[in-house]
Amino acid sequence: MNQADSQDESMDEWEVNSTDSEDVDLREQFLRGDLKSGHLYRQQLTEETPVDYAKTINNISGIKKSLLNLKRGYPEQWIERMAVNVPLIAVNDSEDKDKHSTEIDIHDDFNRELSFYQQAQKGVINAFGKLKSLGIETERPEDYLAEMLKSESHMQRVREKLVMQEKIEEMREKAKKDRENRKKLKAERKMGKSKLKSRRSGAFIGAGDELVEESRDKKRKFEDDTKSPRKKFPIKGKLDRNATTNKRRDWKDRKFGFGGKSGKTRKRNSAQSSADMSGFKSYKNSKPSVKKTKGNLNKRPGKLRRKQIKIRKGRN
Amino acid sequence: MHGKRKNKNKPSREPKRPKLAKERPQPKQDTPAEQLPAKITSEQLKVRKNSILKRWTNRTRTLVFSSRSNTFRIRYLMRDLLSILPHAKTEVKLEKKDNLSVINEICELRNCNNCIFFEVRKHTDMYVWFSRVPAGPSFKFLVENLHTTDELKLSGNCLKSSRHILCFDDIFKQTPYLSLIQELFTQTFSVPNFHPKSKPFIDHVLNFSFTDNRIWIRNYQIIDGGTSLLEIGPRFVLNLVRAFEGSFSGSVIYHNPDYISPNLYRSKLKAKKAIEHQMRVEGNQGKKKQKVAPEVDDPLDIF
Repeated sequence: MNQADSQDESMDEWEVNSTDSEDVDLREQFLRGDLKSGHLYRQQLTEETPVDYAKTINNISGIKKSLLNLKRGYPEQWIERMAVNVPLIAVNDSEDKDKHSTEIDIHDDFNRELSFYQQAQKGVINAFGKLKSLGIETERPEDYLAEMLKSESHMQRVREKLVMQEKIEEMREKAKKDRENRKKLKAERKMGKSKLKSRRSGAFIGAGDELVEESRDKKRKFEDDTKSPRKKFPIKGKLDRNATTNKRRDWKDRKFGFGGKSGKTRKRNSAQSSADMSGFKSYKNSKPSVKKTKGNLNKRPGKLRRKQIKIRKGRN
Repeated sequence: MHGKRKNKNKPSREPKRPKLAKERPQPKQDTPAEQLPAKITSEQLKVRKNSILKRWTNRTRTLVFSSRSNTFRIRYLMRDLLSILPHAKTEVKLEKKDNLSVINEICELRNCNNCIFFEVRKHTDMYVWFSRVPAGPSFKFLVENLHTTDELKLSGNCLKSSRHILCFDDIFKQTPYLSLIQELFTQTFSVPNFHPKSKPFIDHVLNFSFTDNRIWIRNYQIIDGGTSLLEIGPRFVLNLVRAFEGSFSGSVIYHNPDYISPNLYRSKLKAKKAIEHQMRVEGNQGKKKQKVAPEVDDPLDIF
């Protein structure tokens, strides 16, 4: 029994979640008016909106009747109506063409509007043909001036917006070009630099630069020892000092040294200077011994003392 | 009302007609007759007669107005429609308490046989009724994605109250309820020929497309005989709610199965959010438990 129940349930589920083609059939039946109320057709258009066709109404005979009544009350001539029917053809991107060539993607603004536009254009061509056959003028002469739908101030705003858009577009393009140029220049500079470096590799090092070179070597050694992550993964955008192409900088570095403190301050408060004891004189820096000479000089006790001594003597 | 008016006007106009006929047409009539030799349909003949006499015979008028407590969007849209439709009239806003059947009387008083009535609910949901007065049918639509001409800043422009072409999607002819909609729209939107306020040139199209079970309406300016178009505005989408046999009354002829009322939609959104929130809370609790769990079960604790 249990098994049978579960089977039934699964069947029900299958019926509710019917395939797309069945949905389409139901929809078509409904639009034709063949779907009788009382039959409980449930289908899921989307997850949230189950459509119950039993509750909906499509009274075809009523619609036809009121359509006839409507038509009777209005002139039949085309010129009074000027309405045309034209197929709406969906415009899709080439990628999606295989999937839905007939349906418009309503969330794709550009293509949706384009398909509406094309429909309108076809309609206009169709209608203008009819108007021509009826011998009716459509275009107004240039000297026919009359009030327009949109006011001049509104059109002014539109024009301003268009001009603004153009300006923005121009600026955008200019910025893009500049960016590309800068990139090119940078690449060119880099190429030139690498050439310079190779040329300089055998060049001499100035006489005063030994110290600097030494410190550099030390630094490198230190980095190698610790395997600093900075060296392994150099910070992007920060140029490696060794790869500079600035000739002036190179020359200055060679002359004045690079790395560490500059000039006078280089020897100040260094490890060497702080360890230097040459200027230390112990006799100058040690504390002088305290001499107790004052008490010995003055043999007479103070006034109070003397009084006390007198009193003691008197008692005795 | 209509018939009476026509009868009143007739005697005063009759003497003018022969004058016009005598003065103008002779040279004009001859040339087209030479160009189109054998068969001229009855319609063409009628049109030519009317174009010679310049008679305004089609006296349909459309009443465009709204309920109280409407929004600025609706007011602007109404202004756009009124400037597009020279045969349209407007009325004071309808009191909300009033029954909708009052509209039929208002239309009769204003000599209008079509009606576009905007109804606003909760200051957010806009509905529009299209109705043929007094016999029906009438349609109730939900207005979606409304952009008025003023806010769009589109570069197209056309003559005020010139006549326009109505361009419908083919599907309007093929499905019954849509064909009814097309008929009503043509009657409400098409400008009567030789309407005194209209201009004698055709320089824009009203486009009605049907996708996603909705009607998308666009307005384009025609440039160089239809070789290119420029959009003018407004833009809006109509989602049909129901169609009634009568005007603002009667039995339902069509009930849109795909229509979801904005209230239901909003409540669903809320429910979805609530579920999401619940899930998040539960997820957080699970995370807390997970954080606690490994400390207890840490195998290293044993040693």
